[in-house]
Amino acid sequence: MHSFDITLDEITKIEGQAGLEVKVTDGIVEKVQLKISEGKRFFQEAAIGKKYHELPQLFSRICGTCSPAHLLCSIEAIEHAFDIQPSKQTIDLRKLLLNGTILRDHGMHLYYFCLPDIFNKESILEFEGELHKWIHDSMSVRNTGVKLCELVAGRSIHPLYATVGGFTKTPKKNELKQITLLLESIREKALQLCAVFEKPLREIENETDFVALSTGDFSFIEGKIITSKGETIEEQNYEKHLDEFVIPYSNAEEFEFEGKNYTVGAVSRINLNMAELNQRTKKDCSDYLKHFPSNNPFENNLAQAIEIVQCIDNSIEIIENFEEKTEETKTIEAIESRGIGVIEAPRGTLYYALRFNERGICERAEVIIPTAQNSKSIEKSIKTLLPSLLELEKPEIESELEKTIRAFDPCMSCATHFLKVNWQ
Amino acid sequence: MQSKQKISIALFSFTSCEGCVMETLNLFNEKFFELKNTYEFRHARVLKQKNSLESIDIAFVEGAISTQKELSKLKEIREKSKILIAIGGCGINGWPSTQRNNFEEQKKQEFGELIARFNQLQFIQTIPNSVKVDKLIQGCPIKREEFERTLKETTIELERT
Repeated sequence: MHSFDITLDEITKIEGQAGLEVKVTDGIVEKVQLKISEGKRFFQEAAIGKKYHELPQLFSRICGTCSPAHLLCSIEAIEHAFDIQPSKQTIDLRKLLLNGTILRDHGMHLYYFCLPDIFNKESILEFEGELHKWIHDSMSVRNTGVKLCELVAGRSIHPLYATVGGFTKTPKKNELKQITLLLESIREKALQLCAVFEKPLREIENETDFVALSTGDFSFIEGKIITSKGETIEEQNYEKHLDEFVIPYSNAEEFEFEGKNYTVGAVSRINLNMAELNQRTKKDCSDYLKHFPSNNPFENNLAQAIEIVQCIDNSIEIIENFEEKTEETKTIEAIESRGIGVIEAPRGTLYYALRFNERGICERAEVIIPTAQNSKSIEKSIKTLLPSLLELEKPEIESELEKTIRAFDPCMSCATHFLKVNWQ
Repeated sequence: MQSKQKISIALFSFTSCEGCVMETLNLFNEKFFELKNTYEFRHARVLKQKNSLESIDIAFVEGAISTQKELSKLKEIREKSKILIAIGGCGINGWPSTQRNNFEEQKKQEFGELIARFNQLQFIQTIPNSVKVDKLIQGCPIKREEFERTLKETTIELERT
């Protein structure tokens, strides 16, 4: 009978650092622990005492790759707290910023982290001959995302122009039209990326609920929280449904929605919102969409590829209808308040709750990040997969476990921004 | 004709948002083949499964040092690298990764037990405060053009020795 211990100290080709401990005794899975082991940086605590306008640039630095999501979600929480309505131009530019982020970020995950698994290579650096095509594609797709972010917000990592109330600098329509040319030129490559991920690396089923923001147009910013159980929840009321548990062995926490394990991310968004996709995306991805709704975590990769197509099509449409306007900076008046922001970051639903005093000084900050919400699903998927791996040699088992974790596209920098303290 | 042995480089991330390494990956969007053909990436966990920490020519290190394990690893990197270049605000100046160093005493005491349990150091250190550093690239994040320039300059310097 099979008995082994596996300890993966540093999982490769993911964002950030995490380890995995697995114990199997006589064929029974006794332990699966995902250990998010990064150094603690205490962002929620550091936010206390700071004035509201300092917060977005602070929270942006929770994570290098999802920084635009943290930036925009904290901005949304502040705007909700102080009752500030962003203009249509601001909303459009924010959508473009997140679309560009998806191209760059999903692009990194799919081309750099996951394609090597498809082609049985250790790294994209090992791609030779015919596989060079994928390197070229990764460059075009990701570069388009970076260019879009840089045009709209100054930088793709820790963006500069997006702020509470609007943008300090806005692009000209003809500059945006240049990006449209790039977007059209990468569209076919994005569809080819869907094709290569169509067959999932493994066929497994993870029993889980799904939660995502439904925005009406498959953008990522404003909408209602919906679940696979058919519930619709206002953003402001998320706390009544989300429960948080501290995991003793890890630097992150665990979550349940309505008392049940749930998953967030691209697979959740496609499962729940595929009807909202851009018409062009729906048409050209119709074969790929037949895989959903899916309980297979490996189909998160295909879902991400479809989202790249969606972000291309959605951006082209936004740019087409974009009306260049010079807008006055909004006057912001702080009030004693608590504001909630909920957006879809690349890896799933991101929640910010910020409390301010009458001078706009932060008194309390709570941030719930996608990867922490997925940690239970990751462990469950590994438990489900393990019995089918027992006949393999240990290095192969380790490799398969890494691929499973990778499918969730975990972001460990996000997951470890703080250590939870019991406030009782 | 003798083929030149490639300069070996490595990317390491400690306590940080990994934004500087992410921005370095943005350089790959423009210069992938040039980088791949010129350098051997001996250690880059973000890109490769098989990584070796032996005889590194140029090590790029981001992030602050918040655990004994990170400190030991950094010292090993220093020992095994000809040139060590610290990149980014966290690693060089500390912000924001070291922000808990500046919390009030009362707040620090609240975390004392947790910090001990997860083997975090009392004070989070920067890279230059931990080991000898040969070069710095400032920024939060760094600029990929500066990474490229420093990489090229350092390569020329190494090839001259």
